[in-house]
Amino acid sequence: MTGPSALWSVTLSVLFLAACDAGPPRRADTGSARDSASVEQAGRIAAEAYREAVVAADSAAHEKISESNRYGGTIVVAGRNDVLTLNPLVSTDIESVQHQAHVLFTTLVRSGPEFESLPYLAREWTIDPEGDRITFHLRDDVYWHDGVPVTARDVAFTWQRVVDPEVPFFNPAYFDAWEAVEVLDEHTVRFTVRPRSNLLYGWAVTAIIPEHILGDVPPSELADHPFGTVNPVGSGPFRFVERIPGDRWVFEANPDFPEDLGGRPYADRLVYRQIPDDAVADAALRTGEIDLIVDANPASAQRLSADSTLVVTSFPAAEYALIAWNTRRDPFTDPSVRRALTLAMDRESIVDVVRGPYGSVSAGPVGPWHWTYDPAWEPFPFAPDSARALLEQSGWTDEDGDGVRENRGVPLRFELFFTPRQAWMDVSTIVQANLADVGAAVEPRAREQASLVPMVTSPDRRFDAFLVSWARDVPLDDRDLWACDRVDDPMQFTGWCHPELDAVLDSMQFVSDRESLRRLTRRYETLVADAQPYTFLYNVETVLARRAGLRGVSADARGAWASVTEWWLDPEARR
Amino acid sequence: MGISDRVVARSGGPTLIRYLGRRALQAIPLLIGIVTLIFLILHLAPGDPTAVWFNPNIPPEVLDRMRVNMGLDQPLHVQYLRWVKAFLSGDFGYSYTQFRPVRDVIGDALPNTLLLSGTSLLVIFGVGCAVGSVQAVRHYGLTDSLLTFVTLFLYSMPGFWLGLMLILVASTSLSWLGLPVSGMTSVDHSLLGPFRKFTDVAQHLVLPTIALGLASAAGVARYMRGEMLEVIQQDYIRTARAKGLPERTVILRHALRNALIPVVSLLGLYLPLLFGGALVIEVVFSWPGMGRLMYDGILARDYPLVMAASFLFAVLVVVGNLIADLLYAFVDPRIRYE
Amino acid sequence: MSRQGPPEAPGGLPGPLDIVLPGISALLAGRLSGFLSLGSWLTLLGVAWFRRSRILDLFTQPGWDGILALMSLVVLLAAIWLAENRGRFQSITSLEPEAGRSPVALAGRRFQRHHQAVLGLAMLATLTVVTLLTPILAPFDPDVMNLSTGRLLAPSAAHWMGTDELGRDLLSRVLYGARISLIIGFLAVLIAITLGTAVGAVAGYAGGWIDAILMRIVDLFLSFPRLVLLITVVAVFQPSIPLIVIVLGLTGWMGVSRLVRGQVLSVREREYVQAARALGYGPGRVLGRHILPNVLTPVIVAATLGIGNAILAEAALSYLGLGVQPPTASWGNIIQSGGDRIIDAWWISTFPGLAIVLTVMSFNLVGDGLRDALDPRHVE
Repeated sequence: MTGPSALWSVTLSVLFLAACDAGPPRRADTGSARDSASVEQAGRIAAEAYREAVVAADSAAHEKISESNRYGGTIVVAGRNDVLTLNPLVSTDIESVQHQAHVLFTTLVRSGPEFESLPYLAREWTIDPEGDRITFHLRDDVYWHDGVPVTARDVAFTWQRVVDPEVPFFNPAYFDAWEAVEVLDEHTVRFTVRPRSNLLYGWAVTAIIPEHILGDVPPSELADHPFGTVNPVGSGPFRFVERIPGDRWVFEANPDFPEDLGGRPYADRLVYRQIPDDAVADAALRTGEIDLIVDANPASAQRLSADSTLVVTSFPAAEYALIAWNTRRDPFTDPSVRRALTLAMDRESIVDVVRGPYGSVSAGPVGPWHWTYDPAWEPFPFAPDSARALLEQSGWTDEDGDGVRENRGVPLRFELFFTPRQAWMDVSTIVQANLADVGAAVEPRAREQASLVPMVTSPDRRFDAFLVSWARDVPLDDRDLWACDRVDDPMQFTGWCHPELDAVLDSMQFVSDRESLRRLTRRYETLVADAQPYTFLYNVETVLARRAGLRGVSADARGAWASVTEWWLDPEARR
Repeated sequence: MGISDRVVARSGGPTLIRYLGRRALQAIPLLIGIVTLIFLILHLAPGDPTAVWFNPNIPPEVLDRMRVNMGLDQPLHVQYLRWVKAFLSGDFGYSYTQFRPVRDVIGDALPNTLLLSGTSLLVIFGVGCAVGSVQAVRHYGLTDSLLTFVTLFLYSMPGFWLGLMLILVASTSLSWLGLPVSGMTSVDHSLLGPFRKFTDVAQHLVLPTIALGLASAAGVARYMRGEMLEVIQQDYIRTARAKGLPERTVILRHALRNALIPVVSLLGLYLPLLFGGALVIEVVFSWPGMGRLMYDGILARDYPLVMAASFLFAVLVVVGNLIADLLYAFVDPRIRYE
Repeated sequence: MSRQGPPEAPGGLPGPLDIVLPGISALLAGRLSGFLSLGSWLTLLGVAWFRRSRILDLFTQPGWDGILALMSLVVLLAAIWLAENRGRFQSITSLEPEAGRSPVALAGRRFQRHHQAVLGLAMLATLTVVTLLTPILAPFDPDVMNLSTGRLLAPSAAHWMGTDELGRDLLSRVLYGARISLIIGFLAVLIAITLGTAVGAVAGYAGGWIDAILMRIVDLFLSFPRLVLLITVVAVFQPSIPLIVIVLGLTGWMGVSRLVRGQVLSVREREYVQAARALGYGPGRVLGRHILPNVLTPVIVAATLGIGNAILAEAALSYLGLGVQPPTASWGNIIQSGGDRIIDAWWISTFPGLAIVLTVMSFNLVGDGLRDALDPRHVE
């Protein structure tokens, strides 16, 4: 589609130009001192340019509507999953985290389109020459929605809670390198850090919480505190209005949001509804009950785009689907078998069926959402003949002629587990047919999640293979998947690890120049591809379906909500 | 059927109260039994509430801490006693999946289900009895045959399939009707005036009620038809006619009243069925009710929520049966049982 | 439909044409049975002709499925032929059967008069035949996918019911799904009836505290939220067809037990029962030979209607993802797979639903007919 690609090219060129103005933009904030003014200026220019680009791309096909006419209306958004809580200390689901970071709260920094850290709550920051302390200078015009100003104490409080082992924050690893905090004054806070790449990324996704409200709450009571679900108080572009459980969250524009950060959002109100049923969401979109579906079903995308009142776009999400093999169990102890099974799968067809055009075959842990991605690299094309040859070589032959290979009497038969999602049913059926073709018998087994998880994570690993998908952070840190010293952790299902991979993954966290990073990432991919502890199936592109009257919606790997303050409704499209 | 096998005296008064008291007393061990059984089944099932957060990002220490916070590291009987103690003092705990008190969660969802089930009950019995009576009166006519076929067709339909078909039709051919196909309220519901709020919810009720109620209405219609026919054949109807009473009086005053007796007894039977059937309809139409709540809760192992919801369900069933028996007894003075 | 007199040998004296076209004489004589016989005969032969290549394949391929289908075809043809031609093998005098006075015959006559019940029976018979002959009838293999060109095709001449999201022919899947749904229905009801009858009979006959306890257990099961039980049981064990059968059976016996108990209570004080007890027969024998045969009437009706309910319950379970697991086709899980695309590919959810409706309708029709026929006091 012309809209998003125009947007991308404009954005990239503008950023390039802005970069030329302000000096080479740093993607990794480590090492030597930086000119903080440049950071701020670069950030502001980038943000402005980004906004212009969004406007430009959207107006390409429609009449230009002047800035002042964009204000007003209620935007209704629907998604498959509900926002469970707006308390960043206890939420674990993506929808909640996105709402916290982009809608209700401010974060210390925010991610630009290239995942560089841009100023947000922090006006600027300086890193000591030794590189072990970073000082943030906060804006003084950001207020909590109850009137209290946002101060450095809130930032320090947030960090203290996040790293507290008693608090169930979902990814304390974001702040592994952050060791201590010191509040210097109302708007200045200093942290002691260890150098690493993407140092600030954790701050881009963690909302700052109010110390004056949550300061006295003991960690064990945080989960059920009404702050998360009944009366959250944020500091972001939208204020909380009400929540009707099981139905919707309602936010309204914050008129006091600083102009520098974009000012008041265009929409008067923002409503989020959970509609778990795709068909119902599609119908609601067509009738105009909702304006945007943030995770539309690719199956209906074609029909929706045929409707001239709707617009369908997509963006590469940092999400991929895979089959995890239990390498502790025969026959998966033999990497040749794993490689053969991957060769036998027609992953193109799987993607076609499950995602349509909104996905691509995945060759490894790095997908189109990462800048090192190389679409031409495919170590395991669809090659059933090679698969058969490889199986023969590994000692698997069909001795009794029943179509299933054996090795010393043991048949090549195993169970493939998955949760009862429609997509997994289809994938497992296709995989079953593909593997039957090369002499392996797969038995698909659907299990509800709560039963499947203990099977897969308990030490005795009661599974042969299972099908799953997950989302990763774009600054790649896959040590939780493969670290050798934690190979018996619940989440290391496969039981495979490699010392060199450990070294590679560790290095990736400290390297900042692109060439080294690219080299290391390639090494990572190669090591994993060789061993095939996972068969990577496909990368996911998230589909956004919206009414044509809703403009300003753009999305990339940062998620659909990153541009929420830019969304506006055509005056005729307002209810 | 929900027919009691106790002596029920017509006169009411102290006997009635004694009867109610006895039933209430009998219900208590029943409820205790149900709740204990559910607790056991839930906890013996594999998995625990942390299974919902299946993401390598989350370190195992965090999950372990969550388990400790939920009290899951305690032995089973300790957990049970703790729950019972809290329950008896009115504390239903916090929902693991919604981070809110269970009382609030259920308090929000229960009225929605009652609204849906209640409206469906009205439709089921209103439409059902009316159609059944019409059929009986026009016995052997064209209307009767047509309606018999229609009721049979509807009665044989899976409710969720009917729901899907309704969504299909409402979104395509009948989209001009503007009937909403999801949820209970529209987006700007809170901005509407009281009358508009009412019509908004009513509009959202249409499709789910039809899906939930139509099949059962057909069932009631069939049953009503049979009962009415049997009554119409009776002597006292012929006597009434012979006495020269207008046909309308005969039908309405005499036939209908007597035919309604057994039909009313169905009420108690339908109550729990409605709550069960409502689940699938709630899923299809995204209706924010108890059925969906329980279903999601069980899958996520949200123990406090499921325990409270199941208890509520059991209470409703017991009360429903009681109401059915009482209705039956009140309506028919001749009832005597062994 | 012509009114019939007392039953006589269907067909009377078969003519020479009946060897090739059984039932034609009866048809020409104006009898409905001839129409039915000739009609089914011709239909079956037509099917066999149009599907002759498939039949040849089944001959050459090994497989119980195919053999059973072929045998069924042969048996059906033979049965029709014999029904219409049996006059050839009997002397004329022995053609006169006893004018049916037995209760079964009387019931049969009443059943016949109930037009709708006959319709139901015809539908059931068709369903049974179709289920038996599925390997012959199904135009495609229900599991064969066509991922490149055949996905989500609307109903057409090539695919009468269209194809699903993996390119599998929907008609074939619906046909094979019929077997699954019917088997589950039958077996679940069998379990429910057996259990319910046992409990109800014991409770009704024994009375006293045994009765009280058993009925309290029934109440317990009735008040139990089925959903909790279903989901948890399915989670602990594997969702498989035997499990679904057991679970459906265990959740459906309560109504039967109450029914049987009521019947046993009313029959218990009858003279013949008291006579049996006076004679010293043990409770088992009294129950088994004297009481139960007389209470079976409503049980049979309940069973027939119960199969319909079990099919509906299986569909609901599969729709929630707790029933028959793909890639095995059952009506419920086909509807479930089409639910996401109800607007794009309406045929995936619509046709299995229609199949369910028609099947359950036929069971209900037959059940109603049985109830009217077996209960002499019940008014049409």
